[in-house]
Amino acid sequence: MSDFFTGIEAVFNPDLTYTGNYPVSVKLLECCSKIENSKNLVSEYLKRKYLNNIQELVPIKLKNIQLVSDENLDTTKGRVLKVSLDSITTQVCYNLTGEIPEIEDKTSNPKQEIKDFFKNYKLAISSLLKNETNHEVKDNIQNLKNLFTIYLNNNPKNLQVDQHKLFISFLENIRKKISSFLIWYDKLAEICEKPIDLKELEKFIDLEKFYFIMAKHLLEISKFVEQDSNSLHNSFTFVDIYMQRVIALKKENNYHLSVTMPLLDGTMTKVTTDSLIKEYIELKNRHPEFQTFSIKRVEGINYQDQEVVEHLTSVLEDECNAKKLAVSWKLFKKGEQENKDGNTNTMVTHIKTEEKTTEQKNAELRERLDFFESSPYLYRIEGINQFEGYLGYIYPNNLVIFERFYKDLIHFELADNHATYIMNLNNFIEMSKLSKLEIMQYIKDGNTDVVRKYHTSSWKNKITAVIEGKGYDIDTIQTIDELIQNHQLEKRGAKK
Amino acid sequence: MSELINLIIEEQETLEQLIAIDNNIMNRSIHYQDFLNQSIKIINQNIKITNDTNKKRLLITDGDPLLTLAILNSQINQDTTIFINHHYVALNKWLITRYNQLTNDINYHIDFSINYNHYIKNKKEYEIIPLGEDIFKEEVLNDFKDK
Repeated sequence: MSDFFTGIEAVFNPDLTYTGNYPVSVKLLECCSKIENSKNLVSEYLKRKYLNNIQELVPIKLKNIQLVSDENLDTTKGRVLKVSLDSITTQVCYNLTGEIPEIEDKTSNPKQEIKDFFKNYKLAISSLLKNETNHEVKDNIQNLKNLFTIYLNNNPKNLQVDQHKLFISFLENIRKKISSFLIWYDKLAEICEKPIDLKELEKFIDLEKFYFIMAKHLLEISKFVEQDSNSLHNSFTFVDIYMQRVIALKKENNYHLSVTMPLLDGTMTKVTTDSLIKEYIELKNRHPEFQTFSIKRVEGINYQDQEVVEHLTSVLEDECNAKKLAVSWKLFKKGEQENKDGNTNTMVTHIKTEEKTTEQKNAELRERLDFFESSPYLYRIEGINQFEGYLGYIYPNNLVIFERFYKDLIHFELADNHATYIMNLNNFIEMSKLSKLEIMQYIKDGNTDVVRKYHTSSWKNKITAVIEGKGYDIDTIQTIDELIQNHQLEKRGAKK
Repeated sequence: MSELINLIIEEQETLEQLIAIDNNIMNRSIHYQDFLNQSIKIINQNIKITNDTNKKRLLITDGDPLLTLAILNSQINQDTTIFINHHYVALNKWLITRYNQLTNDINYHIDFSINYNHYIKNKKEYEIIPLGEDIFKEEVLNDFKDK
């Protein structure tokens, strides 16, 4: 199971990037750690690289530090794992004041908000030390008094000391710690901003435990999100793929794992394969709209075989239902077409005879469309948004063929000459999530899994050959080479 | 280049097998006799391809083997890559192989693969010359335009 995914990046920086963030406690990762000479390697690594430095900058003893998996705001691509500055700030504020500040997510100036928060407490401390009344900070004053009470109760020996002097000393200590925290805040933020090196961290992780623990953790996060929005957190994609694998392994060879790990509230709990499967199935049953699948191109598979075609068709139906490709494409089964009211009915042609540009262009266009429409495709695709005007077809041999016919689908003005693009369905599904500029750049970057066919006189023959799945495979090339080699010339111009 | 025509005649059996492979994959029906007749016409036409720069040249064709023959017959004396867009591989391979064996010409580099996008990425290194039908040439030049 440990080699089914690509490492911890499969969870913390997957190919399918998604927005938003979620917490990951250090304790959680420690539960996934390799153990060597009784040492928790993850704990040692995180302390050595990050947490010891952080502790030196903070005036209180930190507990239960949280990490956060978040979007990579620097590059807008991918995701990162970082130490959560918010969790540290929250601990410091609560420890020094008894109150947790309300700071908005993604605030543009969190330091200023913290300064403002502590400013009121500094005023409160000042008033208390001068024995003055200040109604503007009366709540802060009360919090400080409550905090002192707790401090006394936690240290019974203090009850024998002069309470007034002790209170003054207590307040001055709080004020010193607040100042220290604010002085070192920028340095602290700098450390927290730096992404954790996932490749380095992975060296200390027991991957099998990691995938299991993260699946449970992300499942808990989805249950949390479900309470508010009745939907699943988008990190659930990993859970879905992982749990399908676990269920298959359990069937095949009774796969079993059992770990003790912290839940979101920090409670330690034992999780087994069976309990995880049960929770996962219950959650999936509540959300049938959520589907994950993968298509792999496997060498040696004849994509015309009936069972492969059936699988491909069912995958495309799921795509259609889940509207996964709806970002850039609409899918229509062969023979179906969405009319202007959004209903599916018998196919209608796009061509409006009253909007011809030249007769010849129209005739060529009609010929190409008729050719495609009469070909044995599974699904027709129409581009929307940035791909408006593009039409294409998905074939049983796992290939997608598309080109730009129109400048837009409102006026049906014909586009200028555009080549026909051909790619594998799995490439197409991934690429359809990119912007048009990104796809064109992908092609311009020299990637060879996208092929162009130009509208020459032999275009139809070449596209037919593509649709029928013929090609110059390795065997064919070898045959060609043998035929040519077997008639080697002995010398220039010599006859055999 | 008349020696190449002699070989087309001598190796009729091989060529018929290669043509059958290409016809099956390209969905065409080229006949050996037509191929021979048109090859003779092309050799007699002696088409010249001029060059405007000293850069490496990239001749891009849609794979028509008769066009390949015309290029070979034009006897370019300069470092040239012929990109044949992975079409009619059997016939094109035979032509190139026999041409090299007859002439020991080292000016040509043949590209049968689908590295077209690679050339777009490195277009500044080449003088791009699309050959063949007008519509093909137009679309190829569009590909290589800076956008």
